[in-house]
Amino acid sequence: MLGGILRQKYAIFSNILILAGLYFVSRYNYAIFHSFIGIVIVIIGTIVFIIWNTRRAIKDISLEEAGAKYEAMFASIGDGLVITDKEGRTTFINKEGRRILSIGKSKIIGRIFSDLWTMEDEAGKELPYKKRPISIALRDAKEVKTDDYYYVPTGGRGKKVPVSIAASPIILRGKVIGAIDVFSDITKEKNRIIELEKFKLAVENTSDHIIITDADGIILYANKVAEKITGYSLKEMVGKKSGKLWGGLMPKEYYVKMWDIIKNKKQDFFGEITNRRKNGEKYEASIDIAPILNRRGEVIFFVGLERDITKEKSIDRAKTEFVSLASHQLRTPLSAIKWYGEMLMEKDIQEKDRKRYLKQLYASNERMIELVNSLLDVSHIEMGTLEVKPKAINIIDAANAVVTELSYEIKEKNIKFKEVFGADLPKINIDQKLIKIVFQNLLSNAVKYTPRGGRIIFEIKKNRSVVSISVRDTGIGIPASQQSKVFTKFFRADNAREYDPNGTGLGLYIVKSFLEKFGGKIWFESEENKGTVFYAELPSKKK
Amino acid sequence: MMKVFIVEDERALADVLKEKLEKEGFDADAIYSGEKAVSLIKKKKPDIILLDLLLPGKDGFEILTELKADKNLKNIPVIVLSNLSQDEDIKKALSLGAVDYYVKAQHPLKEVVEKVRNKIVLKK
Repeated sequence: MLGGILRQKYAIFSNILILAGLYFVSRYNYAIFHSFIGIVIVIIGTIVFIIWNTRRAIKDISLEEAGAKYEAMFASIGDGLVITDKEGRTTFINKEGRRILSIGKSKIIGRIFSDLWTMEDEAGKELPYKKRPISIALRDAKEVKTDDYYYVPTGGRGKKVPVSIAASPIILRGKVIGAIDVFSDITKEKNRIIELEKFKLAVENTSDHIIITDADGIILYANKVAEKITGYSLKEMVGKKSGKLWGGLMPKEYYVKMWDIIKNKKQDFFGEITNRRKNGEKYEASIDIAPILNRRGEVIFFVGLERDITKEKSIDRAKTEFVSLASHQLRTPLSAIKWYGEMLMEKDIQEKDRKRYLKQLYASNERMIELVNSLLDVSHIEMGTLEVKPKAINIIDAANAVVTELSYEIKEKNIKFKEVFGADLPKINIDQKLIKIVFQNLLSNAVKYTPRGGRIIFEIKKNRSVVSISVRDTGIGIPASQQSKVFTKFFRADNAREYDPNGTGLGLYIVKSFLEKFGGKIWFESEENKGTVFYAELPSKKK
Repeated sequence: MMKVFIVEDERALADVLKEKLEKEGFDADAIYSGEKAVSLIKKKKPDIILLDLLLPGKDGFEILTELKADKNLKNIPVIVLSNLSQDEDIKKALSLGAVDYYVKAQHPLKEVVEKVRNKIVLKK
């Protein structure tokens, strides 16, 4: 009201001047001088009135024009636009803005914009009033840009719209007099991003190594598995060729053929390859490289897939090696059975020869049985199918049972056999069958490789939280140069092979595997021609 | 009498081979490890050698190499008698100069004796 009056001050002032002038003329019409002054005052008043009116008219026209210009200008741009005054009241909204927010002009002009729409993030959490872009623009005179929010109409009308917002303050002579809020509907982009995110997540988190290179093989992208397999970080990979990082180990022809297929023939390349990780370790992988072509049929990208098959390959090799070693091992007693059988079938053989051949046949067959049993144990160990049935048992009982089985041979070889079993041994939770195999192997080795009249000490005692086992013999010992291979499957020391050709080379490998399965361990001390001590430890309490 | 020399670490196999060859009229000798095989062959000067491959001390490939490098021994035919049956082992033994390669478990003694006889006849 007061502002209105003040704006009217020029009109009042000019009208007072005119009235005062007229009064002068009528009051002093007899005095020429006074009348003249009255006329001058009227003229000045009229001039002021005319000037004021003209200015007002010009102002009104330019405002109207500006409004029309704004409207036209902002109608043609694809973004929604809202202008508010310094209180946040909407003074202008363009057509696109009304479309995005599905609201009529009359419903919004003059109302506080932030009362009509709240803002929510992806998860539906509301953005507090004072953190909204318009609030920040008005309060802090700062520009704010964000793509993270949705406009949500208050009062349940209209729909939630994902928007990209840029709010800026309108500053006049250093003062914020309003704000402009430019926003666009990003529903499509959001959906596309969600789709892309899905693909990206799938590529990122697949169990295969994936890289994307340009047509020259320069890496543009690599997923997490690629980082894990190669040991290089994404940063280290991008911009480089795989050949310079982890490749280059295959013969030249391999790469020539590969490039010919993917680049010239534009076909997929499948193969197996040996590469090198960042730490220098080699790995084997199956690879699949696909060229990606544009509409003109030119290669624009290569997508490379790699799967680390080092483990599978080594299992494969171990299996092949096992089969070949096992068949070799089995053929030895089989050859003996075959040849002694052949001798037996010959005509007119003497009784003493017949007995000798039969004895050999029998021994070879026994060896076959032993070998097959051991091979089965080994195969269970290697395939991870070893069945362990732990039970609380008295370990001394198992030990005694094995000693009894061997007593004939001990007596026959005139070996001094001494048992030292601790009195306070607890029952331990262990598979009885398997621990017996451990004792059998350790003790039969001692008996086998100890010459007549030698000595064996078999000791079992409690040692804090473990049960300690030792088998000490005065046998042929293990040559120092071969000690590191004693627990390798099928390995037999040279002196052992010479001393007794019968043996599978599997016993100690099995013993070690079983003990480790129980949570125990084994080691030894040995000197050739003096003797050997095998030490084993078992946890006395098993979890 | 033709002299046959057997290098075989499996005693049972070496013994039965020796016995069979002797029965068939050969003068057979055997050694159970690889280490002293070459020096013994030098001494015995056999007409033919039956050689196993997996041996303690020195393996059959090494023995074969040494035999073929010795001008006095290189002309003695060597038949490999092994239970290794991989192609690469067979190829390696033949390329080192073995005249034949037999997998023990696949050939009767009678056949081995025949092969020995043939090789000696061929040599003459």
